[in-house]
Amino acid sequence: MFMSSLLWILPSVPVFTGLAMLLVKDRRLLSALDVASTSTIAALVWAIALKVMHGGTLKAANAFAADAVTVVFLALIALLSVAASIYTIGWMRREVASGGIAERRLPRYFALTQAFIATMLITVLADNLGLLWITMEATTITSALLVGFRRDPNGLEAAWKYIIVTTIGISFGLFGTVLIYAATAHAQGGATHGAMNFTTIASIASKLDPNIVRIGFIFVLIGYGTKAGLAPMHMWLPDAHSQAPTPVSALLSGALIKCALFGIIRFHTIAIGACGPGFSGFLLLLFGITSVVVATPFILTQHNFKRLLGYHSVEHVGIIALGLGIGGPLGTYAAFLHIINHGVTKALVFFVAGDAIGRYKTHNMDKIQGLIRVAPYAGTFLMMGAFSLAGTPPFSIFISELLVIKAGIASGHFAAIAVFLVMVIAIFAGLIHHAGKMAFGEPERPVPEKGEPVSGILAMTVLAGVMLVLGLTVPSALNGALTMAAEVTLGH
Amino acid sequence: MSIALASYLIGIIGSLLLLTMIVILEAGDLYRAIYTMAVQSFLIALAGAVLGSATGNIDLWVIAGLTLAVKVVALPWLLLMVIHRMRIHRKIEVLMPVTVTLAIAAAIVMLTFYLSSSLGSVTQVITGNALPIGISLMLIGILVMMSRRTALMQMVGLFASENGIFFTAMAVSQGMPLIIEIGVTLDVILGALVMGVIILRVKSSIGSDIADLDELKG
Repeated sequence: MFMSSLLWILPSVPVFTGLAMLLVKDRRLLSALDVASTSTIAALVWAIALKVMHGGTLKAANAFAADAVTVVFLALIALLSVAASIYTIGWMRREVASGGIAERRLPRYFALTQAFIATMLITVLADNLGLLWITMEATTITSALLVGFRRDPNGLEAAWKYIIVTTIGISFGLFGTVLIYAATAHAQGGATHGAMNFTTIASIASKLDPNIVRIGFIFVLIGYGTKAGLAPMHMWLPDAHSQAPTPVSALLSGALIKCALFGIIRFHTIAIGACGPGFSGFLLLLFGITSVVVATPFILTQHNFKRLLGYHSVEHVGIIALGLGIGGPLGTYAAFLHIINHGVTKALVFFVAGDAIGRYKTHNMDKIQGLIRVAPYAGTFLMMGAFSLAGTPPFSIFISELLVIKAGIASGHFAAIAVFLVMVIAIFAGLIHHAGKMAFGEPERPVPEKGEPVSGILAMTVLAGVMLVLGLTVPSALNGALTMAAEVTLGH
Repeated sequence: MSIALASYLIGIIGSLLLLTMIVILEAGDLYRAIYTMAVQSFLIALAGAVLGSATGNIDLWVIAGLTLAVKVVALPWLLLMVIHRMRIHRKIEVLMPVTVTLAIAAAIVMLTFYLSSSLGSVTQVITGNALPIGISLMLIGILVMMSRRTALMQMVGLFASENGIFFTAMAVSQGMPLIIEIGVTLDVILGALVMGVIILRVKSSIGSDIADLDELKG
């Protein structure tokens, strides 16, 4: 009984911390509360994960549930929240010193970040698909305020595009949810009890009318796909992810777009149960490969560091969708592994970007040169992150991309894999070119700031460590969680 | 009220909803669009009351009341207040000619009716024509957003589009669970407030409509 109450204790940690933050004015105290909150979240997630892995699905209040899929997403959100809160300490000190964010607005910034984390946690804990939608929209509202937090025209433009496009986008998700709800009520003979709960729907998925589930899935894929940044609904993403304050960018790219994928995965499971793996798998494959192809030219011609990372997220969300679309135990496993790997790596590189942009006072990659000389740690992490993002061993993304390719070849998706490989090679060349110039080039003018904040180095070291370990081996606990998550997704 | 009568009334309300949507789509004036959106939301509340008395589900009455308070009164008031604070001209610049948007709207309505007629038995749990009308409203709402370059008009399109979802959701079996409906409405209010704040902030800092900003690209 106690264990299942953890499911609602978990999101209440950031909610109450956020409220308390509104009463605090001191930057250090705010950062301390921030780190304390995210560390508590991580500890609670650990407890939930252990329970789920050994005792099966946890449920609470007919609205929350945690299975292996939830655990994978919770772990990612917790890890990135901890890293971002540590990174924020040093990043915020510089931001306040340089006048980027006024000191009196700090309580609001930290409280909004906590609210943002809380909404993400509830999204992946939701068993009720209506609640899933509500909190997913709430992530948009909280993070749109963070994207436009600096109140400069570019930030506000990005925030506007973000909130208007994703809100109209995920209204498709709500419509899809209503359709699946109708199908479930019909299958239950008109009874609506539990007709919105994923666990109930998944258990009777084979009885649902396949026609309405197909239409429902299309609506959900377009809806949550917009929020996940799948092409061609990705137009808002590079704007929002590049204009947001850096720790928020890391959470947006690393964790939030994965939460949208969580919504898609839930409905993918329902669609597999109702119409077999072919239908939703094919759509995911299609959107996945489209995203990879569409993102490539923008990555190659990009000059803005953070926009580059934004387009890169479109590519990687595409790879995850590709893995899910190829399907089977291996493809799905690879997709889940890639969710973790991309989240960790992307957050790391965003941290480096935030550091470099603060140092050189520009987003332009042509002007950010010689980072490794000015900031040896950040420069090193930049090269590590870039090699990982480009899919080079011994870093984690290499492993999950390899598994996607292996699953694709084993299941005969040769054309998709061929296109994917060509794009990955092009992106490899482009990315290493950009990163190499930034790390090893000659600094154009004397860069005043040397010295790196300990908090930043610590946050980046944690993420780089995870990235390296996952490149060498998948620890057995994680392997177990990913395998179980793939089984739950496929409805076994 | 009998189910047959309710189904008949829902049919009439559905066609009136489509009519209001066409008026919004062709509105050349912000006030007219906002007032029509309020009328449309009133029809949604009416549909909730009809379905509530037909199914005997109290929740639907609550949802009707909520729609009345939020979408008929609060949201139009918010939009009018933003207009007032911005002191903007009332005319709306249209990106697509009226004939084109009308033709697209007609195509959307025909396609959705064709689509839902092929769905078979599941449509039994959805009263009357609420499914095709809901999808039509949603898609035409997006058409409104795409054919205008005014931030407020995009918001009107968004809310009108969401009305389509609310309409279909009410007509499913006994409506969505009340708590979910309340949560969705809360999101709509909070989202509208944030959008209003962003619009006003851009207007006060650089004096232009946010939908005209086009700095970020590539």
